[in-house]
Amino acid sequence: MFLSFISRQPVKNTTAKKPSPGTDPARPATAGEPLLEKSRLSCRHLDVFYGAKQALHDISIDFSGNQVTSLIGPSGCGKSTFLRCLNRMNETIDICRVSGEIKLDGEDINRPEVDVVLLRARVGMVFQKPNPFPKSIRENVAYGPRIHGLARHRDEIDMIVETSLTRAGLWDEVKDRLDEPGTGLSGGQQQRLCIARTIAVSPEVILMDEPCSALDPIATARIEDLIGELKENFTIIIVTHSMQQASRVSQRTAFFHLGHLVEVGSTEAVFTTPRHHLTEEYITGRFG
Amino acid sequence: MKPAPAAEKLFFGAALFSASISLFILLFMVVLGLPLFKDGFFLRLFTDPWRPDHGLYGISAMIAGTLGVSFLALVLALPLSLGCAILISIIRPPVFGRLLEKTVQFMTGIPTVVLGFVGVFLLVPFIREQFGHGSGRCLLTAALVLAVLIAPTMILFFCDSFSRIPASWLRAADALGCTPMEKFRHVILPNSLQGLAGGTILAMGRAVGDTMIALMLAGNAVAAPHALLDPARTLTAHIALVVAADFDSLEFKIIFACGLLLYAITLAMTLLIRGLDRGNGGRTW
Ligand SMILES: Nc1ncnc2c1ncn2[C@@H]1O[C@H](COP(=O)(O)OP(=O)(O)OP(=O)(O)O)[C@@H](O)[C@H]1O
Ligand SMILES: [Mg+2]
Repeated sequence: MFLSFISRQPVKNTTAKKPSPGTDPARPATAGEPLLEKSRLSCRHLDVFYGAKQALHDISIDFSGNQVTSLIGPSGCGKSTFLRCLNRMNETIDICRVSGEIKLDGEDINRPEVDVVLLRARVGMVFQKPNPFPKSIRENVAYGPRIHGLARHRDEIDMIVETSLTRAGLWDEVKDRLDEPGTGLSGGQQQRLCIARTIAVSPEVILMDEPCSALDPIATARIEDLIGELKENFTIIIVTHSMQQASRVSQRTAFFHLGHLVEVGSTEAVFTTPRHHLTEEYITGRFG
Repeated sequence: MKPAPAAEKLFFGAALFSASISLFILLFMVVLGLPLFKDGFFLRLFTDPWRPDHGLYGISAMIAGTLGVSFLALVLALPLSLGCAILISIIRPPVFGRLLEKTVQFMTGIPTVVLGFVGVFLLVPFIREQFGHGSGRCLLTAALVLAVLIAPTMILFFCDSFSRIPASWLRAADALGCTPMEKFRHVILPNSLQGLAGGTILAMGRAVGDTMIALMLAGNAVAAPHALLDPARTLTAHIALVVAADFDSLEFKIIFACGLLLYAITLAMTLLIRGLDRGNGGRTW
């Protein structure tokens, strides 16, 4: 804690206590196909506790690159908690303890020597409520590249700002007002600004926690289109409460229930032929 | 909810009463200090030395003493308070942080005379021996203890302005991969400058207005201090010391000038805080 204030070295140790289960062929008790042959990001036997209360139970799942995976499930089932494991944001919550193994490109992100600052540059996050900094639009996007030393000169920064805003589908709307405050944009524009800010540091994975729930249908549609375009370059994991949204934007879907990963499969399979009765009850709207 | 007319009247009365008291005090000082405003005597307050036996009543040495002691106290207390506030509300070491916060809250309640007392018995001999000249009662001694007096106010004020930074900005900074230091420098600090300035001005006001510590520790010599180890007399200590003189003398009247000056300084600081608050409106960075 103390040291991390001055240096970029991670100090907090949340290493897995269990022996490396990466090669363990035993299938987890999750229906469908949680594990993949080739994956970008893989979790094994993930347990999360808030104090004495267990929020996630033995989660094992793989995510493959360049596709969108949606996480669905009733409120309080642990979707956000799971998402926060993937960029170690749970460390900012004092009472939260994580154990298990999470590998990004084969490297365990919970090892003490992993630099959480670099990890968060590789795994970006977009929040439910748009949260631009109270700075100019340009500064919002330029800030990440600047602190991570991705660009030194003014024109390099300008370049990143333009490409990020373009990829986030916001450039045409803001190119003449880059020096105006980001907080002056509409909600949907702010959320796209936050997405631009996230992709400006060239992450490999983008985590989105209900990114559209504060937006109107038109702004939502724009973000959904954007997600479809972004998946060409990024691995995207999105939490959503809308099953229509999950089926529109994602190729794979994972269903959580009471801290357990109940079922994972192609979005089509999960929504048309669910294997677990809880999944079926949820998608047919019988609870949640 | 609209307050009942009776309650509204009561609160309005109370507000009017306290506002008029403060105006009344000002009026009182102006009236009693009126003789000083005649024949350009008022200006001579700032140019003459303080020699009552020769009919010279200048208080410039005391003004210098007040400004010197309180500025030095502020310079000493500011980095300390900023550090403590960062520790308490940003780094937050689990046990020590809470302990420090409780201690600071407790310290705001210590009577200044107790601080002065401790200063007389511990700090004065220490300064005397360390520097090997003078009585140990000097600008530095008073400023050190005064810094202890004003630091808790500043720390609590600073902590408050840090904690008013929206959590969503802090989360955004975390998710972007800011180090805690970057988060502090780029997100927390620029957005709490008004609070920091407000706390500093408030603390300065306390330092200017404090009497006991300066009286007990600054040495009270009637000469503008030129070095840290020079003794000094503040306006407040001057008032306390002169009150002993008889009522009708001009010497006694001088304290109203001192009072008016203190009043003006405090008023200026209050207005400054108000101005900062107003500037708080539709701010960006
Ligand atoms: N900071 C926290 N402190 C303590 N418990 C928490 C904290 N955050 C989440 N929890 C608990 O962990 C469980 C999972 O919460 P989480 O926020 O991950 O659910 P969720 O699936 O994201 O819900 P929602 O759909 O409502 O956002 C809940 O029981 C919740 O009470
Ligand atoms: Mg959630």
